[in-house]
Amino acid sequence: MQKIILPSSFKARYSKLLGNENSAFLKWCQMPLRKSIRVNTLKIEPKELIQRLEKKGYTFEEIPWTFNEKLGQFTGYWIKSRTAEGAIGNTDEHFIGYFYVQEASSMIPPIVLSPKEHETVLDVAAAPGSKTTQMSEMMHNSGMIIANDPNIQRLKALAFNIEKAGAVNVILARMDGNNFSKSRIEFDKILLDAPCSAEGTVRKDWKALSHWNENLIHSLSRLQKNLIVNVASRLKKGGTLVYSTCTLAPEENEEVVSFLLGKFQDFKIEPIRLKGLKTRHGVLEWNDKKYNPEVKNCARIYPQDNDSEGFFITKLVRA
Amino acid sequence: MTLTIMNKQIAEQYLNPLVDKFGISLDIFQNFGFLINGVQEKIWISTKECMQADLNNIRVDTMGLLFARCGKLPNEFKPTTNIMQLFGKHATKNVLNLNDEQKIKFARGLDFEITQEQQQQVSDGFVIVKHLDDYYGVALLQGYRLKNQVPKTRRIKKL
Repeated sequence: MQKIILPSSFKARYSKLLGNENSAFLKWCQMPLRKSIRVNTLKIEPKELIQRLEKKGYTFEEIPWTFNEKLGQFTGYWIKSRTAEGAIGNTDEHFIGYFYVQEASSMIPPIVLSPKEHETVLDVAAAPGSKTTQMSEMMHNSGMIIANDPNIQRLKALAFNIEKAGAVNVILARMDGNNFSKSRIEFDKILLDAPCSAEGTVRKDWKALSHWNENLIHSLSRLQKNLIVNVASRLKKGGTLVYSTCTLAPEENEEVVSFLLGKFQDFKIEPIRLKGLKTRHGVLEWNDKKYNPEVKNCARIYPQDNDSEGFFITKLVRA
Repeated sequence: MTLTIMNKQIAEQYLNPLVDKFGISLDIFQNFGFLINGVQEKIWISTKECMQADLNNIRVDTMGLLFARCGKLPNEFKPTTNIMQLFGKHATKNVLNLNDEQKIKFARGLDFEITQEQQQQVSDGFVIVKHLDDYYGVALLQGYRLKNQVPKTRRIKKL
């Protein structure tokens, strides 16, 4: 396995953020990530799929935060072991679209957003579509999801995954996410899983940090701030906006949320509590910048806490 | 691409081959609507909420899923792989049950011959393809020869 690149300035930054815990954090950043799948409940029940794959030599562990109350079953599973030959992506079940290979922490935003049947949902940066298809399933293929990505290649990947999942309730859009401020639609739910420095993905992609630097973080922070205020303007009163990233940089996380709260007085953060998911409070200040105290209700997910990717998620409700 | 929403009557006319050839009742689509492109060769399925949304100032690429390609004749009506993986279970005729070896070939995008017994269960033209309770998609049958219609992007190299 390739040695994971962790720049020295990255290590120093997280030493400042995590103190004594930094060595545990860095150790976990270099450990391989468990593969996981999400069952496509548009096509098959979880129990049935898992039984079929177990007969093929796979064993699974339920991802605790994916328990679906209505189904009475878990929809996400870590792959514990396999005696089967070949990758799980080469099974009949994958060909037919019975499951999606998706990282466990990436299943969290749709669960927090909780889109309901017949609602209107905006997925601002949707490609390649793991969360979009997850939301289609939660909505039982009803209502509307506008799944957007400005990049045509990424949009093709998104289209492929939507087709394979059988997601009928999706409109694909290709535009700069900021331009949704001009839309006439008021959305019940908005998911902004923002483009970010992807620090949290280093366990999956050994070169995720090969271009990492603080200038990149600041530039992304400006982009994310613009995006969040533009899309938030289209949220209905009483609606929910989930902001998430796969980075741990406060400039891309708490600072962005704090920025939104400064622009819109009718947004409040709701704490996130999911069974089996260990989260940490948001950071209240960083590099001499103080954030809105409400950001303590943001959720930080460190790799060492749930044996997952690094992640950040905030649930905002508009009064 | 411009898509036009079809009213119920027009949709039923276009979708009639689904009923005649495959025995799929149009009632199963009551929560959805259908759209057709300008040259009337492709049908899309979407939800009513999508079709009723005010999409001004949104740069729409596609809406819903491609449902079928239709030609001038009923036997040119071809439902897509993705749609039959979703709705094929409602079909009551022209469903071809593959054996283990054939399903592997099908998933890999290969053409192959079917058996006499299989050939007697379906008629020539487009058929829905399944293996046990799994619906794999659509193929074109000509005599004993099954011509694969799985899109290249969906084919798997090794099953």
